[in-house]
Amino acid sequence: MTAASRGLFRIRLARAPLAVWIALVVFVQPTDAQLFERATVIENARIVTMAGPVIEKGSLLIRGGRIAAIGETVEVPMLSKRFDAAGKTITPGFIDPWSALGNLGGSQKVDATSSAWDNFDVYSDYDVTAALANGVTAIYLAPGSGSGISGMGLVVRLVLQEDGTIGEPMVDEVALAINLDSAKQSIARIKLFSGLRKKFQVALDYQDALELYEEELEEYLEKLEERRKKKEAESAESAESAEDESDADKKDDVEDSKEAVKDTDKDEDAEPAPEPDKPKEDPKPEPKPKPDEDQPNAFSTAIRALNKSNYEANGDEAKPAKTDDSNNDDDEEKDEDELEKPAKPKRDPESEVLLKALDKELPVRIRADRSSDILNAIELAEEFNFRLIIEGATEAHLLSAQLADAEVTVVLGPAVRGRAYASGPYRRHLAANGLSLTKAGVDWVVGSGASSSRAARYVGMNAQLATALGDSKLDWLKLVTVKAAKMLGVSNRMGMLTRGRSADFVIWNGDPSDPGSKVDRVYVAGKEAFVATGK
Amino acid sequence: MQAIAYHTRMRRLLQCTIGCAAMGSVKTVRAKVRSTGLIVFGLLLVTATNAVAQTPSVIVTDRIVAPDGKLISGQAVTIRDGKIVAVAASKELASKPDAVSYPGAVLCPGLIDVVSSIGAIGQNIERTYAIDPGASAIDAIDTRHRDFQTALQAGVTAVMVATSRNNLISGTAAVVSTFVETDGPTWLRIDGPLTFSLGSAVFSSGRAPTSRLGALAMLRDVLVQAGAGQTHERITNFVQGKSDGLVFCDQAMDVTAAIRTLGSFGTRIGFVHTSHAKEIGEELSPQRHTLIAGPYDFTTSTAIIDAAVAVSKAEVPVVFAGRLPFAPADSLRISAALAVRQGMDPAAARRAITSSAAHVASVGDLIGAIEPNLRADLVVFSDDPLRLNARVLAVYVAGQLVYKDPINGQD
Repeated sequence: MTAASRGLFRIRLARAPLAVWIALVVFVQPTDAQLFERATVIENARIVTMAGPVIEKGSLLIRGGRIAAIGETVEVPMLSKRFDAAGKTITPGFIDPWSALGNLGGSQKVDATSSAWDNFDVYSDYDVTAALANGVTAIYLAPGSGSGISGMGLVVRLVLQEDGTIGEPMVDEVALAINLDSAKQSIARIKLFSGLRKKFQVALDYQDALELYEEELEEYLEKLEERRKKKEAESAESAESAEDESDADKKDDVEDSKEAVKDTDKDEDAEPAPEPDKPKEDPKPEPKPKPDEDQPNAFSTAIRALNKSNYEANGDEAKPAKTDDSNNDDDEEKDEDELEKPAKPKRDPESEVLLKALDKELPVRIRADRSSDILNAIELAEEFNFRLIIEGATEAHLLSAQLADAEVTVVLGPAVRGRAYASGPYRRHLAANGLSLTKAGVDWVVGSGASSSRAARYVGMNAQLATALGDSKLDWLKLVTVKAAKMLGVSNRMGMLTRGRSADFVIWNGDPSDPGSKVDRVYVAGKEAFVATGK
Repeated sequence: MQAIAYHTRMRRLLQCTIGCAAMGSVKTVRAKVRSTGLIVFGLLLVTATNAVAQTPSVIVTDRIVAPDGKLISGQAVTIRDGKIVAVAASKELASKPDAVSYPGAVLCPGLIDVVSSIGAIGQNIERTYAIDPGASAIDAIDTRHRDFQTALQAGVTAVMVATSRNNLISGTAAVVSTFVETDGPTWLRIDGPLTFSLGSAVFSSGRAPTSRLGALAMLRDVLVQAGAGQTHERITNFVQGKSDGLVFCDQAMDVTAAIRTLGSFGTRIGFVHTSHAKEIGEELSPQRHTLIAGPYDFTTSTAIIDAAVAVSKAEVPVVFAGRLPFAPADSLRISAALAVRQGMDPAAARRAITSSAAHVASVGDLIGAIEPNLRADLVVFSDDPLRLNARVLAVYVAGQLVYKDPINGQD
């Protein structure tokens, strides 16, 4: 290179980076500031990880909403926010496995597809702040107390969003909730229970119908293919004969079904059965309802042309009228007749939810306090083979053996003031239940119950009481962290403080068992959700 | 009931044995005496070792609840004849014979529920007379009720049952021990505080008063008459400052009216009111008045709990009502824990279920604190009783072990 060209080159080189930088700044804009989010390090705290021994003096590194490192010492990245938590204790955030926090209440007409989130007051910041101030970072939100199937519950993380609303659904559809407790008289309870069985049976029937439809659809498509191939061979010879609308109509049917098959998402409820073939030359004037019919294009014209010749050639005219049985696909007539597309069973969203439960994808939580209701629930679970969790379970101590056999998990409610001499189910036998369930080996957790939004904040204290009365060898912290997370199916994300899990934790200024101990800060998903105002 | 005194049974057995021995002839008597002697000796040995656990002379625990409500370590309690004799350094006392030790535990005075209906539900409702000072709560209590046992196992060793809340003045409340022996209950106080009520429960269409106006007028009349010695002895005693009072108040206004009308009488008055305590806190006098609030549970609004906390901070003694058996047996401790969570001083919270409660029930010189000359009604908790995961390990009434936690009482 000559000196001149080198110089030019250098100038270009000098300018190029500038252009590159400008381009970078202008075009590369991370919408999420994740890349530039500062890590947070909490140091010198006593950390109760719930995943091993307590770290007497350790540190936590949070990055991207998760715990990036935890131990006696952690590497402190550049530009990270550091907090000294000397003298303080850190525990995982408490999870309330049965909560009505923020629940607007009322028993609206609900069904299996209703989600508890619809009933959640996203502006109930007072209750949520109070819950955070007592160490609760996530709840299982139970649907409102409808009778029978009351909808689906979900896990809600307690965060205060930027737009002022609270709560973030963390996991949708955690369980299907059924309330057996609402009916008071025996007749009502019988009706409720048999109604439930019917619904599950309907779901099973729906599954069968869907499977049948799938099979028939496959057959139908195969036959269509065969026929088309046959016709292709023959059509080369036959001339096009101008048939009337009637044929066009019939062909449109076939075409429709092909389109419909491609467009599986189209909501074709009860697609009208292809009209019976009137084997006449006269035109069929009535236009068929064709919601999906687009403008005729080259493809459809070609198909139409093809099929016109097919039907004509095969002498469909002589065929007798078909019945309205749309699911029929008579093998004998298939060559002579028009193939009928099997009609898809009408979509049943409620059954779809129940099917998820029957496939064990969705556990079923049944609210039952009376021993008879609990037995019914166990029976239902055994008959339809779903995963059962019992909520409430006030009389579980009478049935602990059966519960153990059926491998049922139990969520006990809070120790609230009961009315003495009120009817049996309404006295909370926390002590009796805890003891007998533990002895029988039934897995149980304690929740704040679905009756009060306020009770959620005290789930920790309730767990303390439950261990004192029910299972003194159990660490109460386990009930509201590890065990609750496991029951809700979120244990890979919460419940313990380990690397990779969500950074949901609470910093206490004393021993969390001590009611005088206050919560200093709460982190949810790595962000500060609560900071105590020094009073 | 395992609570039936072990030593009484042993005593009877011994008496039987000796009686049988006396029946035989002289020759055989000697043989019999020897064999019986051996048996008796054996029994005595067994009894002796058990008797120690039953009526220890010293109880040693990690910490004890002092009379001021604070937890102190390194002290043990000496007991004799059912009373606390001394509280001294545990190092010396631990090695004494008949000493029993609970490592890691906390010794607390037996808890006291001052607003209870155990054994008396439905039995103390009298509507006929607005002023019924002759009624005595002890007449309404069925001490054989099993709710007493439930309370005992939760660490509640004494309850106060009041007379009716439907009368303006309704007689005296009674304090009874929850440990009931076969030969009858132990009344800690038969003639307890005089019970007053203000609120809609008092108004009855069948008789006066039918409104607060009438109620207060009637009350003042009675007090004036009492001043002139023209009323029932109990009312006169109250007015002359010889007895305590207990006032059930429906609303904040009732409390204010009660303070104004009754506040200067009686030695100590306990005001039973929960919801609007915030509004009346300033009117209560720390020396002579006590606020009785609760019970709280996990659904109680924090505003209500804050009110009691504020009153406590103003140096007025606060006592938590248990309302057994309507509330769970642990309601006293739950109320205390919730109050501490809302900022109440833990020592005041412990006093609220022990010594302050005893004072408001007129039995402060008998129970409620671990100090010499009081009854040895003691509960061994596995931890600070304010912590709800603390469980009851053992209960002593009058120095005698009456309950031991079946699973965990093995220390």
